[in-house]
Amino acid sequence: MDTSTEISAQGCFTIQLFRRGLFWVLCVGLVLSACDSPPQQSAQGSQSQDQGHNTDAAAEALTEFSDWLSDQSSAFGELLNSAQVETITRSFPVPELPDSQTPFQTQPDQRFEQWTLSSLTRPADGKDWVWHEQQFLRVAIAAANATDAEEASNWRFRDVMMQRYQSYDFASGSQVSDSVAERRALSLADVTDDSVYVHDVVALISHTGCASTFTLKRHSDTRADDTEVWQSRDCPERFRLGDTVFSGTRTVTDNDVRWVTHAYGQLPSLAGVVLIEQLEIVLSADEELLVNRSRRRTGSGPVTVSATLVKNGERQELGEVRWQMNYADAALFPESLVVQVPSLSQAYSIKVPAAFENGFNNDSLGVRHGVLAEQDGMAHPGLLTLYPRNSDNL
Amino acid sequence: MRLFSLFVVCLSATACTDNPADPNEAKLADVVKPADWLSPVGPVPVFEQRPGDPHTGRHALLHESYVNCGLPERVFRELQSSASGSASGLGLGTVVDVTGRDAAMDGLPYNTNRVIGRSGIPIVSSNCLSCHGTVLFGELVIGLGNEFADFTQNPSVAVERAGALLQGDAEAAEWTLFADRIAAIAPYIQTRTVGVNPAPNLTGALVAHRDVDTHAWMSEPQMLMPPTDPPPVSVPPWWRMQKKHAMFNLSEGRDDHARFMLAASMLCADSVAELDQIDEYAPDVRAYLSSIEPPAYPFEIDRELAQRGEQPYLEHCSSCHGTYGADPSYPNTVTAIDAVKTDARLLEVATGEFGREFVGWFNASWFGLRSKAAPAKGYVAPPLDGIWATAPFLHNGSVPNLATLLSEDQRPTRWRHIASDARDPDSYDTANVGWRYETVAAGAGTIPDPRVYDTSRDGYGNQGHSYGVELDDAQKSALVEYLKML
Ligand code: HEC
Ligand code: HEC
Repeated sequence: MDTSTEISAQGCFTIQLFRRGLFWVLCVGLVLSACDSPPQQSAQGSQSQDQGHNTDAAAEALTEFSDWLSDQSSAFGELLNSAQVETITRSFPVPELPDSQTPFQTQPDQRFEQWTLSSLTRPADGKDWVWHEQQFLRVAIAAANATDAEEASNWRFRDVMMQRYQSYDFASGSQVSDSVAERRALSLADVTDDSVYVHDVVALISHTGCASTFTLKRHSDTRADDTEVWQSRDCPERFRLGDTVFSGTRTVTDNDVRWVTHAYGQLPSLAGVVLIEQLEIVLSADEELLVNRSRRRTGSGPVTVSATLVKNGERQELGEVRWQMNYADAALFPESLVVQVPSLSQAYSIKVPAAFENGFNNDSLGVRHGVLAEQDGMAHPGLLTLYPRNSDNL
Repeated sequence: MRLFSLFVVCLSATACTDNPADPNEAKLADVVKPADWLSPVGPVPVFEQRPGDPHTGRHALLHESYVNCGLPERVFRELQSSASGSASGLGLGTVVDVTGRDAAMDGLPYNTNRVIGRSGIPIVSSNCLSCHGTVLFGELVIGLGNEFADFTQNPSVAVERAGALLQGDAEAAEWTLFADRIAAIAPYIQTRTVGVNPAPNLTGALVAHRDVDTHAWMSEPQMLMPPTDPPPVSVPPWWRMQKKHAMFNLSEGRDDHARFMLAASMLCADSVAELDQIDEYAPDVRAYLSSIEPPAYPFEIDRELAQRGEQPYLEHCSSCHGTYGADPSYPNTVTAIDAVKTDARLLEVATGEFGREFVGWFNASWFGLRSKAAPAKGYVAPPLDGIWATAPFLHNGSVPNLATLLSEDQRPTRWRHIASDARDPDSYDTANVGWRYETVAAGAGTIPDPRVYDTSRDGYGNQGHSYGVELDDAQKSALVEYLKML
């Protein structure tokens, strides 16, 4: 099939930032529509709608970035204090939305770059879903008052990099693994034209047309069976917001769903007056339900919930949607979420993984995680982004 | 185009209340006696208008801060650029050349003005062209009602989301003002069908939140709110104001038109002083509106056929719609609802309980010092100049073209436009005179399609206006051809 005209799987584009023990999240519900496909002539084909959606996604992503930036408590956050950010931003090229569809091209010249590889996988026995996520984050940084020459010097680090791996087993409801490594790059971490690595973990990135492959392995381990290969089939959906470029794809097979996202450019800095929570449900390879909920941090103003069904690249707004969360006493995150979509006569129930409550502490922001959405006895894989119950002082 | 308009106005409606909890009760009751708040049907008298300069008016329309709240310019432009440079994510319309606009507005959609907000930073506010401008076959036609705008979605969804992009206190303050106002009126301005407009309800919802004396915004409504299902309205073209003595379908816009028009300021003008400022250029805006000429029919006209249409027109239509050509006339008359028999819901809302309260507020307020709201129980027979460009037809836009207007039994009951804007000449049906449409069977598809005009909905009916039914097919097609020339 010619990928340039193929309607790609609809996907959620996610951007995720993380740091030691915590997880900022921010999923951005960018629906991946057709790659270079002709504009839809039919019903919802208006361009502005798609663009509006991208914009929502971007807004959401940026909320997250800003929160993360303003957080000074991690080593990472400390390095990114605003004076340093100011110093360094001037010398980076403005990222352009690339014309070419070479997916996930590394951008070593850019100020900031981030990859997230996420998957929900159902092993052969057909029951026990597992969530895996591997992330890399790089931010170019200068020590305070560094001169340009010093920044460029091999004796001074120029980048801070992190990688995080985590996995969660739905059968047991437990976090199987969660590891974070954080390095100031001095050959301990780097991004090259076709790879990104932090300490021991490396991702080799290759492309054939729009399809891309991420081969994940450990530097220290040469055994072939310890490599993991991620493939995404379609051209990524891309958009630019301010000076940041976002791209993402989603690939659905019989027993797993894989998301790949990449963002680069300037570090967006935003106040995030509004938080956007999101549920993305993968109904099939070419159909997804996206539910977005906005609320102001102050708790005042309207809470809006809107749903969109995306089928073969065509978007359909679904009107009124109910989003109901059930909390245990004092919990910051709900135990369960029910989303009712009257225009589809459907309701989806989600048991919120314990990873939300566990992976969060007070100076963290929100959490994005794989979930299973039950409807009529069927479990659909999905992604959920939530913020804690009281967000006014986040 | 997804357009949820951020403001606006243009009204309709009426009168006074006996609600004892209403602090304005005594005042409203004094001003509007139940007996005198409606206008009679029949001829509308002439009202003297304040003179103005059309050139100044056009400039004001495209630059001034009569809708003085909106998104911070930086956020707005960021949203625009995120959408790959074309339409903005907020659906605020497309970017086209608008002659005579300041360079500071370069790159902004034609239906927005860049103005300075109250915290001193530039904001992008919607202007009148959100409803009263259309990119027709590639060119902006100022004054032509937008018949493709989408008011079916909750406007707070997009506005709240834009809040995620704010930086700093000034932006947050501008956004909060705007977003809070939108949130207050959002439940009253969502239509059931793409293309129809909720403006009368929008104005009603804004009025309900305003103190009648000071014009201050009150977070709690001070009077009855309009119904949550707004009566749908097709936006009339501005060039009709050359001839019309009263504004709006129910002729409720009487006395000074200039002030009435600027009801668009009701979203965020929070004091009489602000309104006075806006009122300074209002007569110029009115003068500009009344100077606009309709666009000529751009396709071929069969002159001979059209000539044959004149006679049936004069016999069956001109008594209400006037005559055209060298020595034009226009009777300015309201046809009683019992006679025209088109959908009555707009009228029922404007002349019912809510309408009474609205008229009471309006006439007792700063607006009432010059203008007067007084709806009639009937619809104005509008001038038919440039009628080809204003499809779909009737006050609620329920009839897609002139041919079906003349044959009541052929009007589609569930239909949808083929195109989603007015850009492509191929989506215009020159034989029937209107935008091409397709009929849609009931129950097709499980998810309701907001682009379908379902004439069985309350307020969306396509009945009535059965004039000319006795004409034969040949006469009808001659009449349709004739109408292209007006
Ligand atoms: C939200 C959409 C909207 C906006 C914004 C808007 N209008 Fe209107 N306007 C309408 C609608 C709808 C009507 C018809 C209402 C009716 O008849 O009930 C109308 C009617 C009018 C009329 C009367 C036309 C006639 O034939 O009777 C004038 C004049 C007018 N508007 C001027 C303006 C001006 C000037 C502005 C900006 C200051 C403005 N409008 C902003 C929707 C809008
Ligand atoms: C008795 C008065 C009367 C006569 C006669 C009459 N009309 Fe009308 N016409 C009206 C009224 C009133 C309306 C507005 C009705 C409404 O919008 O609900 C109207 C609306 C229209 C409209 C729609 C305008 C718009 O912008 O939507 C057209 C077109 C029209 N008439 C054409 C004709 C033609 C052609 C004839 C002759 C066959 C005719 N009318 C005869 C009173 C009349």
